Amino acid sequence: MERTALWVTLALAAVTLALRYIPFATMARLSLPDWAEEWLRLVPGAVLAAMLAQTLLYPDGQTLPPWRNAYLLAAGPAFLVAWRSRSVVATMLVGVGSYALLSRLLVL
Amino acid sequence: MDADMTTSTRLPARKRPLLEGVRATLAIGLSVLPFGLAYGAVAAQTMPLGLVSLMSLTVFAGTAQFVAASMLAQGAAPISILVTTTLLQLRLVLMSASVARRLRRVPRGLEPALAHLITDESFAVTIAAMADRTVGPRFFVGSGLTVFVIWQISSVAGAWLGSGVGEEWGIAYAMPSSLICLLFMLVRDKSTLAVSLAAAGLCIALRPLVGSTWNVLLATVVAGIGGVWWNARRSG
Repeated sequence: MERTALWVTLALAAVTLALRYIPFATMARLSLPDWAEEWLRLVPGAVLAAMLAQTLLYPDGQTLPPWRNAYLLAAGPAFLVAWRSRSVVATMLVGVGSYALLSRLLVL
Repeated sequence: MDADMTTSTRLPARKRPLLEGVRATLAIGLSVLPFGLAYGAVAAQTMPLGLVSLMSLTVFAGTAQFVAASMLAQGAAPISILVTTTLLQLRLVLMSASVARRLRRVPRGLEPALAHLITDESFAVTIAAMADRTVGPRFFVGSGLTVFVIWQISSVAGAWLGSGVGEEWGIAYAMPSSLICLLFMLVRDKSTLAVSLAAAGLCIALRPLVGSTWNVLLATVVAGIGGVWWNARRSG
């Protein structure tokens, strides 16, 4: 596990540096077509949304009925606070707090 | 935006550009702090402190680190972790291209170091500053270093706090909470919202067909292409 984590970290560092450095190195030559820029703009939000959907619906890879799934239920208050307050701190506190509370209630 | 940035309307560069970069970035830089704490706390549940910190130093990209740490904790295949985080990081190319085009007189040997300092925050501050005055590499370095230092300190602090806090406090949920915040930051208009929703739906629909690692990637790529196609059709 630790060895894998180390290799993933180093590979991720290399990929990230490449993504950041390539435009510097190629500067003027790199001009992307509009559709490519558009795609690059759309993709990061899509990855996050897809990951989030999967994390909330299948915590730990299991399928739970929605009303027994503390991960999914705690997302309600977290989404609401993120939307209304736009505050990272508030969203985390509410999300973590709701999850701690719900996961305890649902065990009973 | 480029049109009104003629040289004549620009103010001359200030005297201490590095410090000015630091000052201009402090406020937005502090918004990185809760993410750093959360990343550290989540990563420390499965990784030793040295590795948590090494990732912050060498990758220095919050969202990607979050996703990598949680996928590692779930035991995902390394290749799928890399592909997912790369997709997530593609926007760095756009930011870097934009910064590289506008920053002149960067010594060749320093380019990789400067490139490493590109983040959402340093990019936003530098581009905003460029709108009304001449901004050079020093300003950008000041800005980037500010975010870098805050990120390092907060992720180590988070790891230290997180390893002392038991699971019963719901620390694991710092991960989805952060994803929710980041999603609100990235989804800014109708097309990003539509594409993100489509990707989420597709990801769940594809799960029984292609498994729980490749569905995220496939859904993202397809939804992104769909978004490009839809926008092109609407405007053309």
